[in-house]
Amino acid sequence: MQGSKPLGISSFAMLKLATAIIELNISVLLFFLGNPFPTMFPSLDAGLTMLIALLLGVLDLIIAYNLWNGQAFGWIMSTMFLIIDVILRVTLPILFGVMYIAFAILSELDIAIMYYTTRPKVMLFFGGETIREIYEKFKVEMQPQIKELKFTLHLVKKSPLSIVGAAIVLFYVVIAVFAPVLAPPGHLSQGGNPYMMPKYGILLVPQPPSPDHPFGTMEGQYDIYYGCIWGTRTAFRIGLSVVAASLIMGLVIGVISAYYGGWIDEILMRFTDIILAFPGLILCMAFVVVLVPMGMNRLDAVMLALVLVGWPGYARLIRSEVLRVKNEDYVEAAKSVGCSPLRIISRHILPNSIYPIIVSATLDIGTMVLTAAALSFLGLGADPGYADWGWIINLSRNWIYGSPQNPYQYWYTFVYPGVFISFFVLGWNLLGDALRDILDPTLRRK
Amino acid sequence: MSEKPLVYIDDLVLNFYTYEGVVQALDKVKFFVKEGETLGVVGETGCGKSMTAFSVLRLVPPPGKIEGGKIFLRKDGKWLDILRQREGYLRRIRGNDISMIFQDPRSALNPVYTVKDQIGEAIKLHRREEICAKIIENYGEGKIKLSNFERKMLEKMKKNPRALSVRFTSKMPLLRGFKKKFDAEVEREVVKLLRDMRIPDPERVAEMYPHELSGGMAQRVVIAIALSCSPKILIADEPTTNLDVTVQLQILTLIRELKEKYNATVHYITHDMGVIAELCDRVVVMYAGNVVEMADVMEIFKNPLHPYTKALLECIPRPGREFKSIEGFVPSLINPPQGCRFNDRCPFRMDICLKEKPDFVKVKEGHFVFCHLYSGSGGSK
Amino acid sequence: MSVSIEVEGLKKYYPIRGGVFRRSVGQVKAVDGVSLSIHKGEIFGVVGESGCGKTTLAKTIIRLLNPNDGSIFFGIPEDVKNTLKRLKSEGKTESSEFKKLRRQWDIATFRGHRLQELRRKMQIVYQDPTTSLNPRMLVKDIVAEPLIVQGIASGRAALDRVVEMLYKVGLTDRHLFRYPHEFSGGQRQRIAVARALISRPQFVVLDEPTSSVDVSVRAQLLNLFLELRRDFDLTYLYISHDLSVVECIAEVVAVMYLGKIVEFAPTRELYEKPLHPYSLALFSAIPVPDPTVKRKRVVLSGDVPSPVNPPAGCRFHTRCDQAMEICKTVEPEFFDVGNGHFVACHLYH
Repeated sequence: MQGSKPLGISSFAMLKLATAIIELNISVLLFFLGNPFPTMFPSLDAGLTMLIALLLGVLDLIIAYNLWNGQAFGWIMSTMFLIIDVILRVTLPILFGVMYIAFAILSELDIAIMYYTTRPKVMLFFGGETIREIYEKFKVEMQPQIKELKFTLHLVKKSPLSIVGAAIVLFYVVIAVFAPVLAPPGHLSQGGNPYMMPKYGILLVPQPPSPDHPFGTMEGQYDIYYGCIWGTRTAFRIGLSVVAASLIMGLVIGVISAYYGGWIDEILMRFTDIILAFPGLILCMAFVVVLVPMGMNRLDAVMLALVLVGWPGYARLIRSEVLRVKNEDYVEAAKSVGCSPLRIISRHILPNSIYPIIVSATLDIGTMVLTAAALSFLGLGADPGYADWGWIINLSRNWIYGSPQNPYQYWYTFVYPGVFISFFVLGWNLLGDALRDILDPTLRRK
Repeated sequence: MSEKPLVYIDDLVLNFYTYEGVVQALDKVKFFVKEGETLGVVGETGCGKSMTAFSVLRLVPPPGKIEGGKIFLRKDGKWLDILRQREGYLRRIRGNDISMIFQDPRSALNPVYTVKDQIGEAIKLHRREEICAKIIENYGEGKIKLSNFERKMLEKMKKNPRALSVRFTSKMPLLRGFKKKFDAEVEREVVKLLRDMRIPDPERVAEMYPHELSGGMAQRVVIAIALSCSPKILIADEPTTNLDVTVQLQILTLIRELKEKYNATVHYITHDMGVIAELCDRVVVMYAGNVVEMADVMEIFKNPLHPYTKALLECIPRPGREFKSIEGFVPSLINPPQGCRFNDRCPFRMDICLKEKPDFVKVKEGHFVFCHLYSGSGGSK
Repeated sequence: MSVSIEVEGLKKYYPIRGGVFRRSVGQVKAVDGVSLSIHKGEIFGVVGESGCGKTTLAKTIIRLLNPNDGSIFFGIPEDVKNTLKRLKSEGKTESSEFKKLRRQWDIATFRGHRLQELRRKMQIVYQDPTTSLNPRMLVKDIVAEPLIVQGIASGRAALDRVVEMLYKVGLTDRHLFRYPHEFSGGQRQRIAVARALISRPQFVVLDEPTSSVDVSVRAQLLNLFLELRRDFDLTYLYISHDLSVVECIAEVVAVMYLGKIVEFAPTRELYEKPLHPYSLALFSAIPVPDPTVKRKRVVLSGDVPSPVNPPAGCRFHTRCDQAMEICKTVEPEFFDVGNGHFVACHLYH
């Protein structure tokens, strides 16, 4: 190992870190707010750009981390990064327009960094290790992670259902990301919310599928196809946000309860019990009914209600896992070394207890969407006209049974959204099952 | 102690098929256990001593597969190859002819059943006919009052416990008296067994649950279960490793008593040379899936021949001397070294040790070594 | 030789909780009044069977557990010790001077920041290396953790020290980027030793460090301990139930039974002439690896009584074949039988 890292690389690392943070923030913004920046192609929406910004952010984080540790990249990795970077950065300004040009200039700088750090002469200036050495070191350091990854892939290959599940989820991801392309919100002239479904007329009777409306229309002439496609985005939004929020809340409460024990544990757990004592859906409805008049957006109210009802499950789960791990020798060893409780929890307890939670969370993503759809079906979900699968089925309530001669006359009103929901939930369930099989430590250690 | 072998393991090969490769756990293991003797099998972690015992009972867990060799048991004067028998027949042998006790007594006992139930299960499984016959006999002597009906039911039970008539009537409230008498007799047997194990207050202990027992007591109960059907051979897989040293003494004394009283054959697995010296008549030393030496206990301690045995004896900590260890590590069994598996750690390594596997050589009467150093001394096994 | 650790009347009780509000319905008296002194650079052995409290004793001494009563003096200067002794003999244990000195030197009273500093100087190596290493941390992170937490070093400097330590315990820098489960038992124990010693402690508790490893590796570890004691000027407290190992490595040995020390002496003296009936039984139970030797065995009857309700008087009287009337009521004090050999038994009064 060489001595201290040279000055040059750390400042580059800081620069990289700064751009990484900015890009990650942009992607988060795009996720929650939609696209606030004026773009050259208005139909290309937040989804794609968000993904690109996310990728860039992650890439930059990796580069920053390695530069900080005094490692530059071997020439193979550098070229790869270079190519990816150039492609992404050229496309982004086109998408984002003027606002991003400033960042594009900054990013040209780090292209230069990566290029120069692979040149031997410059390398000498930066620490004196040859490219080959750096590459070998990189390989050695990553070795255990690579081995673990290979083992994980092997386990994945052994269970074909996991691949099916992943494929289904990926399919939905693609639909969600490319929603503006698949179902262009052309009905909006300027601005407007693409999540509101377009109406093509005022007829109350649903119309069967036709070239104009591939899945048919609902009561009030909402386009079902549009609703299903954009509903995918809503589904992801609901599923991921609700699960993430309730997971975090449950984690915090569960960990504190388990780690400190005693009275804190009693109080928190009784509080959890109280919430669990209520039937979930009913409590949800109660929350929605209270929150909406307070001025909240309907869908946000549903999400908040789901979070408030969902966190106790995670709290109990993580509490039992933490209790198990808390008594292990290595936790006590960490205490004997002088670790603070925060460090013990974050570095020792959580990584060893989190896996059942991850599995449960993955399974819950599907369940949450199902619950939200149920709420919409009952009329307590999204606003009328919002692209949400449950809401489509709500509207088709009256048309499930058609005329006596042809009972399935209006099948398209509930079959299409129904199929979308079922497969969505199925995909996440299979993925969750696969995750459980893969991450279960007793199964892993052969 | 007779000279006739009771169990004979011949060229046993055992492989485990894992993600990382094929673990060649047992590589042509060959030894025998004589009737009435206590054979000690000693070796370190991973040498295959436990797996050999599991193979004798055909209880090798997947992904392990027995891929070669024969295991002979002498039953009713004939040699029986255990590896070629049907599973159903093997179930009759397990617990009845061959019994095994394990390292952790607490996990060998089912925590939701009492001691009485667990020992009783073994008895009911294998000694049903004997017990039924006993009850029927005692009827004549007026000890137990049996009605004609009960006697008929017991006869049926003796012959075929799965008969519909037996199963049906044993559940009927008024008619199941015969079953109660059967259970009572089994319970008497259980208490007798516990008393033989030197457990104080056996009636009370019979009603206890495993978590109420101390380690030593639990191990005695496990031994009681193992001996309940008077097996020909008892295989003990490190039964005292987890126990305190005073409790270990109690258990070893017990095993010695049982050996003298019943002329029991014991196959004792351990890594503690002290226990071997205490208890065993003959010793088998194993290393990395091979048997490296087999001899009487006096011979092994006085005149160890194989370099590994010598090194093992040197490693025993003695005060005043500096600690000696064996250099190197146990080789991975996924890609075992060619030739003798001890070759990378052997201080007497020769060229041939790296290429060829040694033969099993009889150096003198009763003393066998698996080493090239002694190949020249002629003779085979 | 200066004294490194001085323990007086140490007590550690575990409450048994029952009832609706988890009231304390009883106490497990794991350590019930233990006093000993360990000299600097010494290897002090504590032997006893499971449940006797030796592990609890060790963990309480290094303040992983909070004692209920008693004092622990670590690295106390001679004159302070004499002052405290004088004050105690004069009966002035309530005086402010005594209390002040105690607060300053008695680590049983340390809290917070001072306790944190103490961690650097006192470390422990656990029995089972499989469970004492975090299975999801790389070896380099495990060994570097004390440095980071104690603020001794970080980043590159920490990594250098980790590599240095690994070489000292017989591993290489190729082992840095691996997970614990990729190693054998002996190697894992070495990693645990590296972690314990990297902060350069003065006092290390070795809690049965060789019982989970093979016989051939045991000697390697024992040699390592001796070498490290020389190189780093350490003092060890060696806990074990394996009497033959303790005989070879410890200089002073104490025998524990049911929360109290019943006998202690220099090793040779104790193993040649055990006096307490329990020690006799314990030593006679060690299997001798020599089939020609037939040792006279003392087989103990019954089981160890529960530490919740230890027998009155001498705790061993229920299983002692030489118990007298006085043993049932009066707890024996330590009697000096010469040669640094102390027994707590009425037979030697």
